[in-house]
Amino acid sequence: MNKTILITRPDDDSTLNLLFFWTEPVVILAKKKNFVVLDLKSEKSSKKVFDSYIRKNNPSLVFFNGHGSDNSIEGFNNEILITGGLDEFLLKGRVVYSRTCSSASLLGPRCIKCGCKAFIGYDNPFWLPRSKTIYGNPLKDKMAERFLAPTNLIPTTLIKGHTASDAHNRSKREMSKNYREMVSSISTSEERKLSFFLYCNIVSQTLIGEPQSVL
Amino acid sequence: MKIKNILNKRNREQIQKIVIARLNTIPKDIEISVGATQYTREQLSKFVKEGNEIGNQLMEIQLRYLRDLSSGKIYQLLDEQNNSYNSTGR
Repeated sequence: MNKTILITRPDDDSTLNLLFFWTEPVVILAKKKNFVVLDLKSEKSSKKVFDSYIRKNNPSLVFFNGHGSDNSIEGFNNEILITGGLDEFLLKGRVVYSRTCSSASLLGPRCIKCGCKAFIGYDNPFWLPRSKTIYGNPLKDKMAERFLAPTNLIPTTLIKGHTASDAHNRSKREMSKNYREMVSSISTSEERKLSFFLYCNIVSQTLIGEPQSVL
Repeated sequence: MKIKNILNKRNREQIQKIVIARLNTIPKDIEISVGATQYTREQLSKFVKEGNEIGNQLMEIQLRYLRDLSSGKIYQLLDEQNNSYNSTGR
């Protein structure tokens, strides 16, 4: 096992900024578990740096945070890091979690064809409601927490030595738990009205490739 | 399947009304991020009316959500999530 993980986390808009901060607990856990963390923060999430780091360090897990489309994943300033049909071979032999919109629909299967062990992502847009009043404190945004904390379970479960299937299911289970709470009588009116978007993310999260893959 | 392919004009207008009514219940201090942009409920409602890409996506997923709710599939799916993890022995 190569105990190296590569994380991209650009922060050049407010959505990315939220993902940036919510990735921090994953970085902390990975370091605690003695992983080498290649943390491509902000402008380091460029194609040049990404390609260089992935070729030189051979990470077993690649964790993308950013914008995405059916066939690509973006880094800082919307620079494309991976394009299906062009350079998905860079993910060969690795486990990938793509916390981006839609990349599991076309890019994910292409990565698997190219030898990627497992690809977890979303085959539709990733919806993320957030409060306008707490932009300065991303980790204090309780609504964002409902949506993002369960997704952090994907990389953290993998880091703890479990399979891709465990990571995917554990995350979905936690999202389902949050959904149930959001539609229950103990939730706020705001949560009930936004629960629909969480449901969309639950059904959109997909695992492609070998479910028993580990780092 | 794309929403424009499965609904005739009349049904589409009815679904649009339902989706917009549901979007209008979202609190005003909440924005919805999708891709690089944050949208207010008013903007999302406008997209549904116009039938642009985001509007159509919202119609599709709202329709699916309402169908899953009415058929009970949503609870089946949530139970599956629970069981799939528990079956791993954790």
